[in-house]
Amino acid sequence: MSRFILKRLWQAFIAALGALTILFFVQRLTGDPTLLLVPEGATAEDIATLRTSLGFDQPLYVQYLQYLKGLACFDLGMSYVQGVPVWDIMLSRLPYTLWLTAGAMLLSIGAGLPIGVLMALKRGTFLERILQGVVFTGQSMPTFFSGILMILLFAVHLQWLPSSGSDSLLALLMPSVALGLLTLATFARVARTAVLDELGKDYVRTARAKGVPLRRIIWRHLARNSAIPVITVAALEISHLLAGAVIVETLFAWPGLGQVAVQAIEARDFPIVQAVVLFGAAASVLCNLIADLLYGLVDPRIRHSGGAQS
Amino acid sequence: MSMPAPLPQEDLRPRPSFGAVLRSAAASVPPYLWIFIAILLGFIAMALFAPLLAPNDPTSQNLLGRMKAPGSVIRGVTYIFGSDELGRDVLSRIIYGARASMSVAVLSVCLSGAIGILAGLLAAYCRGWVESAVMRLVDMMLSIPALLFAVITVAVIGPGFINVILVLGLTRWTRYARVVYGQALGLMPQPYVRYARFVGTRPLAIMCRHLLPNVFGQVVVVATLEFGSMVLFEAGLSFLGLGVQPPTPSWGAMMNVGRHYLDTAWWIAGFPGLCLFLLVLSVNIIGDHLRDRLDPRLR
Repeated sequence: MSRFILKRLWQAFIAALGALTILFFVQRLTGDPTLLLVPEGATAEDIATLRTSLGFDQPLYVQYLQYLKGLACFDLGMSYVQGVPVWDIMLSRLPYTLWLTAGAMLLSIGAGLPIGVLMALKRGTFLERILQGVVFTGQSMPTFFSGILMILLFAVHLQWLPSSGSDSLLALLMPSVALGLLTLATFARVARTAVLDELGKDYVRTARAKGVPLRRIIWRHLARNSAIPVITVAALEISHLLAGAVIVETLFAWPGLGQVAVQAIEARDFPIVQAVVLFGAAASVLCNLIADLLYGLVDPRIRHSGGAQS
Repeated sequence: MSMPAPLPQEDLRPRPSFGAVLRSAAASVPPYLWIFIAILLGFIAMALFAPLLAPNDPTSQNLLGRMKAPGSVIRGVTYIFGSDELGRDVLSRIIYGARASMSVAVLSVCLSGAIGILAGLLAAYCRGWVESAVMRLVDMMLSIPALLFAVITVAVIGPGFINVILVLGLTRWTRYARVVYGQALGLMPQPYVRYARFVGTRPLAIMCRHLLPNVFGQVVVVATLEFGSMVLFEAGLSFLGLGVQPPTPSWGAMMNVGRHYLDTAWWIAGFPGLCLFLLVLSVNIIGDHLRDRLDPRLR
């Protein structure tokens, strides 16, 4: 098992490093960032001085190696615009994004899984049709449209919830729902397919024939056996949630990493942009790693074979 | 003495005409799906015939008719969906916006599909280091949240119609590559592929004539589902000000402007949002139906 974890950690490290490398070169190959940072009317001498101070006069591979060296020492650099360490900015904004992602995940798992299970159990009925409609609506609703509809209803007309800000837990509600709707649909669909797969198997038929109550079959047998695809999707969805946070945080003025990324992009503050992508990639590969480990806990066959079979 | 097995009879029945195939395909479409097919065709017609359908010029401003409610008539011009903060007709902008959404989505699906198919086929055919390189690249791309990567790349190379297509095409090919790779890998040990290799058929010909036709059904399913994602991506980028640039109308950009006037003029953001939702919903439902019909695992 430890060999498997080490192998997965190594793969995760390579994937994150590759993602950063792609991003680094995309940013650098599209032009000299110095020109974007100097004020209008700056002289050639000013530009040259700034270029030297930021290290952009060095060859590209030297800049890349210096960047990697900094990363190895957990140094994310200084913000070009704000002049403070990027770590400080990231740490001050990270909790907000974690709250938002956790809220969205809670909603999507808490509502998505029961909807999916119900759809499988009530297959072919009118109720399944209605739930399918809910799922398709969630899947097709752009986060910024569901967000706008909620602001219109709950903030403008009913005035129950604040339309922006981060002062209270109430302010978290609308962004979480907007972000969670899309993943809710994914969870419901995966849970439906997984439960349908299991429902047709012999052990379920035997349990039903023996008169085991349905509730018990779901909790004792189906839940565990249908868990693998759900875990896989949960890990993949984290990445979608982080991406969705960019728009949701902009819409609701939620001061998380997504908002800081958009502001940094507008200001061409590349160290912050790189740090946000690094956090996103790290979160994504970490979640996939945790999912791989959970497979072993849920399914002893995987534990004994030493790795997850995709 | 047993009778010899009868020789297989050649099927002498005439091949069904294209019209007959189309009719039989149409007969298998459930009635509810026709509603969504009609919605999708409506949006396609809007995109194709925007100049004929739009009642007004989408960019012409009328400062006296700013933020007028749907159905208002100003100087003889009827604003069916109301007017925006600069007095432009929201309906005309939505019709022209369909053009931006659909063209970005179609072109980026074509570009990402072409890259993904090529990468997947090469990885499955060549194996070895090519396979490792392609699949590791796919893993790397997938580890970056897609929208974030697209946002950053567009921000770096600059917004605009062509750049958005390029970025979406170059960042969203991984799903095709994975599907094609998986399918093509299963086809490689098939006798007809092995025979083609044995008689010295060129690799490109094997990929195009033998592998591609057999994975194409799957590619169509992925492309349909990706089309919906691309429409959302384009709208998302435009919402952040990184997509199609003003004054060209785009649904995402209209919603971005409209969100500042939600309490006074909900229609500026509401109608483009509704169109976006209906388009993506139709594409998703049609894509889902196609997947059920074309995915061999679901048959």
